Amino acid sequence: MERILVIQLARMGDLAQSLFLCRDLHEEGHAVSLLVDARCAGICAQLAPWLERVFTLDMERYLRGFRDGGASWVSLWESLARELGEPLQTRFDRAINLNFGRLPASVAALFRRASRLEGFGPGEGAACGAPWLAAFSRVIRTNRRWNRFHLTDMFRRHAQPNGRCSRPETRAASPGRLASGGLVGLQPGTRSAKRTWPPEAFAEVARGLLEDHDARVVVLGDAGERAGAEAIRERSGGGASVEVLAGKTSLADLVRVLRECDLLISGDTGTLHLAAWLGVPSLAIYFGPAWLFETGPYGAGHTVVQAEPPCAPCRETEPCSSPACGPSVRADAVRRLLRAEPFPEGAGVRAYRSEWIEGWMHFRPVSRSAPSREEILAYLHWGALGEWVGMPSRFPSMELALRTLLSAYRLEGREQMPGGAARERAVPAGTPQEERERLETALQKGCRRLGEMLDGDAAQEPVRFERTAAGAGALP
Amino acid sequence: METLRRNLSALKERQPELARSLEGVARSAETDLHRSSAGLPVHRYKGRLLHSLKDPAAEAARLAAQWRARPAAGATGDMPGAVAVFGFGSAHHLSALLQAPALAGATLVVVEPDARFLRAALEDLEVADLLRRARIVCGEPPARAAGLLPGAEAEDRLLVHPPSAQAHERYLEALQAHAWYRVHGGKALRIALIGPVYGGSYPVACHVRLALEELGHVVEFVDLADFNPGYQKLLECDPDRGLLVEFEKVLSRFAEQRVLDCRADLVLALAQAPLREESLGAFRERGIPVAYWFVEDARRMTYWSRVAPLTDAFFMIQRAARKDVLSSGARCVHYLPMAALPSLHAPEKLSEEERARYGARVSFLGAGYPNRRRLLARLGRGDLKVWGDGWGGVAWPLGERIQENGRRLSAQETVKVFNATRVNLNIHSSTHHEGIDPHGDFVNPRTFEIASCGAFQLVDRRSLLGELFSEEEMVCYGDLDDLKAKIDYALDQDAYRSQRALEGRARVLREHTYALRMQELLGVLYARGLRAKSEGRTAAQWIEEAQSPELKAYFGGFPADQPLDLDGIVESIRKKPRLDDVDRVFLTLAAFKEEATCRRSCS
Repeated sequence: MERILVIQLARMGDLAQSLFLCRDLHEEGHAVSLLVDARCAGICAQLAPWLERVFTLDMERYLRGFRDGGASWVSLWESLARELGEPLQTRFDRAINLNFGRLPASVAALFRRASRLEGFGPGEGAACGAPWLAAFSRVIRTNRRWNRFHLTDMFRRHAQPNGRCSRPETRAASPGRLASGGLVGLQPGTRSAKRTWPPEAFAEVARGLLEDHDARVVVLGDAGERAGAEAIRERSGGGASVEVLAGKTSLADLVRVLRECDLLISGDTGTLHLAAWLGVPSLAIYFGPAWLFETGPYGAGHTVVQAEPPCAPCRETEPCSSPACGPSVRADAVRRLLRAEPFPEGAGVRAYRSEWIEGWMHFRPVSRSAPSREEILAYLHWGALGEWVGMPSRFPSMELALRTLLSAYRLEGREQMPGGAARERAVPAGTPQEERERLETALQKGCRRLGEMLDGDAAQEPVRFERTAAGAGALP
Repeated sequence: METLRRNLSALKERQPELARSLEGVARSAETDLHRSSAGLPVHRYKGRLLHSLKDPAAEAARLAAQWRARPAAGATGDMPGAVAVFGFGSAHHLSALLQAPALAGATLVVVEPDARFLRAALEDLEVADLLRRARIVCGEPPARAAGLLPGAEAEDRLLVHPPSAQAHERYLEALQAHAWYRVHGGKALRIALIGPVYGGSYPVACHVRLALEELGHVVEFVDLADFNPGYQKLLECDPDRGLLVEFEKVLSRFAEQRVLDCRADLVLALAQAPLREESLGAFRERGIPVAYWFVEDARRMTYWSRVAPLTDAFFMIQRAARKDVLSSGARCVHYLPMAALPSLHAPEKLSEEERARYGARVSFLGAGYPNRRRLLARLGRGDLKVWGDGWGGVAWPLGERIQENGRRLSAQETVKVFNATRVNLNIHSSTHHEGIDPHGDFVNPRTFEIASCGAFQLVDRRSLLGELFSEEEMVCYGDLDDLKAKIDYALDQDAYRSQRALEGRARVLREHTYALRMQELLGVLYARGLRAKSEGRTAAQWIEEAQSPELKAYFGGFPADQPLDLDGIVESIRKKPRLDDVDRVFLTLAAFKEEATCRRSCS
């Protein structure tokens, strides 16, 4: 048994996605503590009562201190030293940093003296020489469209030497089977305007829930999202069937409400990831910087509608010159999806369902269509990571990746097969020479194998999946 | 015209000068008026609708609500006493903003770059009440407009109307940076400026130095030109370039040492500066911000991928490569076009002898790139003079037009050539095209320099030229036939030439000087947290303030009467072989500071 500190200093959504690793570690018999942002501290015990300790850091206080002035840096140092005093005095065997960036890496470095430091380091590297994490960071910094690894799956590699995940916990179900009279949560607000679906669209979906499913609807959010939530209620014409809870719930209340919900409809938000942790089925609307393969709702049976213009996924902080991807996700199409009718794809929008592929999170297009060259490259990357970083047993095999590709997409000819130049471009910038060669070889071998599969019967052989039906869950 | 009369009359009450100037301005030909389904006016400007045609009022209400919710507007959601909006549009967003109860009595400043558009808006919209409540900043260059924004932290309070921002991208980015410069630029910075050993960016480094000094900053110019003879020798004798790499390492270490010795607030490097990753890393480790102005074609020179990730801000003369540079790991990429130095690039009265030597009906000055050779050869003019180096082996008859054996001219001599020539030809270089690069984007220094001299030029079309000069200020040609026709026309039309030259020079002085570029560059860095090193409290004073005994003891290790700040402490920690917990907490605090300034600039 080891004493382990997991450092997760971002917001609610990231915390929820990190709890899967904490649980894996706990189930391996380790004593797990968390270091979290003070704003999230209140519900850690509610979500994960088995945590040994929850330490907090008031991130906003220090950022505000430097942003707005007022407090001197001396007084900020004294507060920081007070907050960090207890965790620093606790002797941890391992400290795992799950945040990108220099600031969390700097916090994690405080524990270097007494612990084995793991997870993300400053820049693109890993804190303790985990080449797979460095490779993953490099891919998502270079071109996120090449990535098929879910962030939570990568977090979970820190547990269990064989890299396999633990037990199921989800009751995700197809929104198409939404029971009449069910309770549906709407979370319209997100932290960024670039991934916030317009209130009119949410109102239209709410109207559909009332008309098509006789559902009861609760609109969630914080106080700042209250006005938008009220507008949704009004526009939906739902009267008493639509209740606005935005600004009225604490985090603990939110957890209680989500547990009651039969379905959550949301953008890429903390509420969505919280619901995924609680096993609540969700229908997620992703566009702009939100990219389902990276941070889609974790667990089997969720549905994600993803806008996929050529510029997606963009960066959150970059100005947008063509803000059409949000409106391209149409409310009437989402309504059809809820009625279990065929999703009208096209115009760069696709619907996906989440599933497990031998313990790995995978999003399968609802309709099987021809993959783009970039999508083929993404699967090749998925299958190449193990060879690339010299740890083939810890990551999906190329065989698995290609079989998944062929079962999820309709690849009949070789027109979209990436050639040598495309493969060369698919090596992320900054990859060390030795790794570059291994990756290029793995991609080349993958292409060759894909050609063989297309030529032979292997292409027709479907991948076997774990069950993903409601209740059974299949978090492997 | 009744609407215009009412609007101008309202505007006159607060801004009589602007009202008078708008009376004399023609309506923008790029603006037309449409109606929403509810009959509300919506303008289309430069091909863009400025509001939703479906429901402009609802759209404006949403935008205003978003603005009111901005953190910069105050933690409580209340609007501040003065607020600035970028873009007049069809004013729906301004009306919606003014409906906020919290704004009652607040000053509203509206920045609208294009006077001709504003004239159109005042002809079409009933906005007299709005004009009585707002102050309009119109037709001012960005640096001047920044000075007219309200509040100390003006940049934070600038609410941007997105369609207007798209129509005036260059103006807005310059305005925001100048707003930051206006707030923080008063305090002199110590800037270590690192130029190349030789080449085209060397004179740019010299101009940058003068501009920074003109702004009152202290410049430590790490002038590597002294090493040029040795460098050239190695270029000649070292075909494998192994020794040259070693020499560059030495130069990089030399520059690094100079930066550290002068305790610079900022390192500013120009393209081709021989700075290696190790030195850039050393600056970062010591918390010295690094800015890099990449004054060359990023499509042709790709070493930015090595350098940009190690800088705090990377400035480019092209927009198109921005995404790639960000993907390489750069933290901040900003478009910063070239400029002129008016103290050098100025109209000059030449002697008869100089006029005979440097003058011509038509001149070209620049290196002999293949596309220039082909274009000038096909131009076939006997009254052409060609100045500059790199023209070896050029065939007759163009060979005869090369002046003074194709020697490289000094900066002062180039000014004489521009001044003494009736029609200066400007051809952007290309190694891949027969003549004009049809995909050319950035604008070369010569464009600004000739214009700043008050000389007439014909320049090949560039995609980024239109937002820097108007058609009245700069005459472009699209192909060889067009060039021939325009040379013939211009040679005969003295008034046409001098009018264009005058307008071009005025625009350079208003918006395209090195001093303005440096204000913009520093503004971007101020937004990211750059500050002059603290002249604040001493270690003894901090001991008084500290509550914790261990911190008091820690401060005791510094000279009691010397100023001490967080950056200074971090610098001292970096030199320690072993760190204790106090040191580590300081490093974490410094990371919070860096994150706070980074988030601020990102927002």
